[in-house]
Formats: sequence, C-alpha cells, structure tokens
Amino acid sequence: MFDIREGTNKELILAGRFDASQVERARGVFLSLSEGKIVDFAQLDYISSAGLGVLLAAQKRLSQRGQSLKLINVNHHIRDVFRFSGFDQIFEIA
Amino acid sequence: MSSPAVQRDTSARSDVALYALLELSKALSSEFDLDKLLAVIVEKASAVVEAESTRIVLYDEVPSDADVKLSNTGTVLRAPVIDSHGKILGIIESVNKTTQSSFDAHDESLMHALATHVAVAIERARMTEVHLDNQRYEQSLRLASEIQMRMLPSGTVSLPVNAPFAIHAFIRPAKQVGGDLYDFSWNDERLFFCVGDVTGKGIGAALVMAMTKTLLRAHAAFQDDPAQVLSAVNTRLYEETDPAMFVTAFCGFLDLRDGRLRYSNAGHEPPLLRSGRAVDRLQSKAGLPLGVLRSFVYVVEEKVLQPGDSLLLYTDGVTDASNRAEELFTSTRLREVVEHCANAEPSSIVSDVAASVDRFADGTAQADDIAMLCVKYYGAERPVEMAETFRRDIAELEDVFDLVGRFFAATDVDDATRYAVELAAEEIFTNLLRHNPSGGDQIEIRLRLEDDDLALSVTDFNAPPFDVQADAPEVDVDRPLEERTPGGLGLFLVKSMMDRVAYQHENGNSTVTLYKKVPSA
Repeated sequence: MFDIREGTNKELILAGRFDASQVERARGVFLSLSEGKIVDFAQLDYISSAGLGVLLAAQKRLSQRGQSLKLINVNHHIRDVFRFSGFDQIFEIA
Repeated sequence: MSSPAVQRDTSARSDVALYALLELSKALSSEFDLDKLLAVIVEKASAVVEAESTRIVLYDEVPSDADVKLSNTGTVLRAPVIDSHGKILGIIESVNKTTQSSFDAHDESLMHALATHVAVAIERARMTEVHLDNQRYEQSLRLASEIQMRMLPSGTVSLPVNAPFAIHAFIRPAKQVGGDLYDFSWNDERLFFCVGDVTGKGIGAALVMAMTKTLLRAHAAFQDDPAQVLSAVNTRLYEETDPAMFVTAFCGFLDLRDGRLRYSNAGHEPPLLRSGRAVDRLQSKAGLPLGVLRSFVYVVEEKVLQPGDSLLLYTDGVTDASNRAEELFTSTRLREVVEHCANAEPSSIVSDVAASVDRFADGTAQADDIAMLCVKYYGAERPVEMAETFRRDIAELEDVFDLVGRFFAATDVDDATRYAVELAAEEIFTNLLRHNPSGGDQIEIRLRLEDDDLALSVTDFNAPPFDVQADAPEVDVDRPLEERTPGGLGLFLVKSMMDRVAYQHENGNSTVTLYKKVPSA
C-alpha cells in the first residue's frame, strides 16, 4: 500500500510502494505545493518511473520559484534508482 | 336372551373386533421390531376372537404335518401363517371362546385375517433386517475404505518450489477396499517410494495391503537398501499371511543429491522411465513376489536419473483395464500417454494416464485396483519457475508484485535483485498497457531462476509485434532539470538495473525477456 501525509514538522511523509497504480493521489498532493518541502522517504519501500515522474514535475514547478524538494532518509535501493536515472543530480538527497 | 339382545350383542362384538383389528393395523405400520409386533398381535387377537389365550408358533423348519388350512374344533381355532410365496411360516392359535361355547364362522374369518397380518409382519421384518444388515455392511466397508486410504500418504504433495523432486500418486480400488498400495517418504538426502499389488481384491487383500504398507514403511525407515527392505518384508509376509496370498512390489531409494536411483523388484511390472521425450521400461530383474518363499534374496539395481527424468510406477490395473469389447489398455497405450504428456510433471502424467484409462474403459466397470506413483527428479539445482496471467488493467499491478514476492520467497536471491525485478515487471507491464493498444486481453509474467541466471518474461498474447524498447526515447541522465522529461525513463531504468533484454514475436505472442545474473548462494 502507498500513503502520503504531512508530518509534524510540515515535511511530506511517503510510505509503502509508490508505483504506477498510486500516482494520481500523490500527483494531487505534489502539484498543490507552493513552497519547497522536505520529503521523508524513511517508510518508502519502492518507487518506479511513475513516482519519479511525479517528483520531477513537482521539482520543475518549484524550481521556477527558486524552491525545491529535499529528500531525506532514502534507502539504498531507491538511492540506486535515483542514481541510475540521474535524479540524484536534480534532487538534493540528504 | 331375546333375539334383539343377541343382535345388539353381535354388533357390539364386531365393534370390539374391528377396533382391535384397527389397533393391529396401526401397530403393523409403526412397529418394526418383530418380537414386539408379535406380542401386540397375540394380545389383540384374543380381543378380536374373544379367546382365553392366543399364541403364535413360528417354524424354523416346516414340520411335515404342518397345517395348510384353517381348522376350528370349537375350542381351538388355528390358522397357518403363509407368506406371499406360499411358504408356511408357522401358526396362530386361539383357545377357549370366552363369550360363548365355541368359535364360529365369524371367528374363523377374523382368524384368517389375523394370520395374514402375521405373515405380512414377519415378511416385512425379515426384509428390514436384511436391508439393515446390508446397510451396516456397506457402512463398515466405507469405514474400512476410509481407514485404508488414510494409511496412504496423500497423492498430491506440495513441496517447496525448489525441491529436487516432485511426486504424485493415485489409487482407485475396484471395490470399496483394495489390495493395491503405494507409499513414499523422504528426508533431505533421499526419497523412498514403492508400489505394490496384493493378489485378489476385497477385504482379505485389503488387510494384507495394510500389513505390507506398514512393513515397507518401517523397514525403509531403518535402511536404504531396497533389496533388504523387500527381503525383510517378504519373510514377515510369508510367516504371517495365508500361503495363497502374495504381493508384487517395486521399491526404490532416490539419492536427491545426485539422482542415483537404487531399486529392487519383487515380481512387479517394471516402471516406465521418461527421459526427455523417450519413454522406456526401467530394466529390472523381477524377483519372486513377496510372501511366496520364506527367504528370498532380492537384487539391487541402479540407474542414475538425469535432471528432468520422470519415473512412473503402476499396478496392472492400469494396463489390464478393459473396455466393452474386452480389449486391454496395454502397456503400449500406457507408454504412448506418457510419451505425449505435455510437461512430464508427475501430476500431469498421472492425471493424463487416469483420464486416458477412463476414456478407454468408456464406462466399463473397473475390474482391478489401479495405483500409480510418479516421481520426477529435477536435480539438486532445480530451476525455480513461476508464471501468472494478468488482465490488461493497472489494478492488476498489486498481483504482479505478489507474484514477484512469492518467487523471491522461494529463492535466496538478494534484495537488490528483487527491487530490479519488481521495477522491471512494473515498467514492462505498464508500458504494454499504455503503448500497445492492439495487444491481447491477457499478459503473462514468467519468472525463472536457473543456476545463477534469472529471467523475467512478459508476454502479450495475440498481439502484433511490439517491442517495448524500439520506440523508447533516449534518456540523457546528465541533462539539467528543466530539460528532463519522464518519457522513456521506465525502460531506461529497466535496462540499467537488468543485464540484458531480448525480444521475440512468435505464434502471435510478443515477449520481452530481461535477464540478470544473480550472485550464486
């Protein structure tokens, strides 16, 4: 299952599996962002190109306002996906 | 007494008689216990004919001077009880009229009716008893059949997907209980299996079958020499069963580490060995059946099974199954079925043979017990393979992941590979949904691990050629953010994370296969 919610410090928490059948809900949340966010990946097990597409669209939109998403607690499998796709160059991963 | 008084008396009397007869009829329809019923008849009969006493005598053997007709001495009124076949069952006899000096013609006709009631009651009670006996017999046979079947391990065996062998067995007695048997047991190193056939059918054979099965299992647990197992069982059977009883049996120990099969045969049909597409009898020297001589030396023979080889053990109920024209199924037909079985899995071979025998018999009653046991040896390094078909719907994605999850649960492959395979399965599946609108209704995903080679195949059935990679846009991962697009990203990731991609279009089906070497355990 996939879940997206706001944490106690206004960060976005992603949990579960961010796959092609789950992107619509996530897209709504990311497109409504008006400022940069910390996105906590600690509980995220899986992401595919569908999820990356949502993050990319959000990052592009925010960057036009000089804002960005910052990713934290990214597990090493997902970190590999970011690296293979070059997304490690367009997201700050802490 | 005046005549009108007599008139009234007579009419009152027939009321009592009719009432008693009615009571009798009720008892006849509600009472099935013969002794109780006869007691009721005796009691009511005295009321009906107004007698001091009545008795019923039933003959075990009909005396030569038995009454065949009703007799009336005035004080003794006696009628024979004759059943529907005209057989004399006994007599019913009332003595001493209580209301007048002698029994009259009216009493005679009442007595005749009573005798008929008695005959009907006895006949019905006897039929009920026979019926109940039959029912009890049927029930004990059913119970015996259940007990017998429960002695055998279930013919359908679920093993881990990477177990070095598969096994499937089938048994169908001709009667409720039978003399065929199979058994198997295994540990990490070896598999023991056997099939046997006791002479004769029915309960006697079933008891010897139970004994043989127990002996084989017990001896196989303590040693792994098939000839010694047979020799030991032979002596016990010789000592403890009827001299006319004997058992043919075949047993073997398969070394699960290297495929070495050691087997021994006591007068049984040699098994069929299917290796590739070739089917042959497993060569064996048939020793004497078990239980013929007190001591007999059986020989051990050996054959190394190749990974993929299947062995089918069977009893002659298979080859001797006959059809209406009284032709036999024969070992030739059996061999053909085994040859043509599509995938040589034990469950398929056994069900194919059973179905083929039934088609051949075409409703002809099964004359002999049928038993089969099929073992397939995969080799110590059994490829793990799983496949499932999915609807062309994004909602199926959860089930796609479930399949991948089960596949990895059955293997020791590392998590990084699992992630790559999950991602590849999703990306190819969703790509087909989005970009191959002319694809078929069903998409199959197949996973296979052989040695250290993992293959993921995604097949679009009844689809025109469509290579997911062909039109994928190039991805330059070094472009700055504003120039990045999500197009082609999925396939790009798949190619980065898997080692190799192959595409083929065959028989109208379009298949993409992705390979990855996995670190060997």
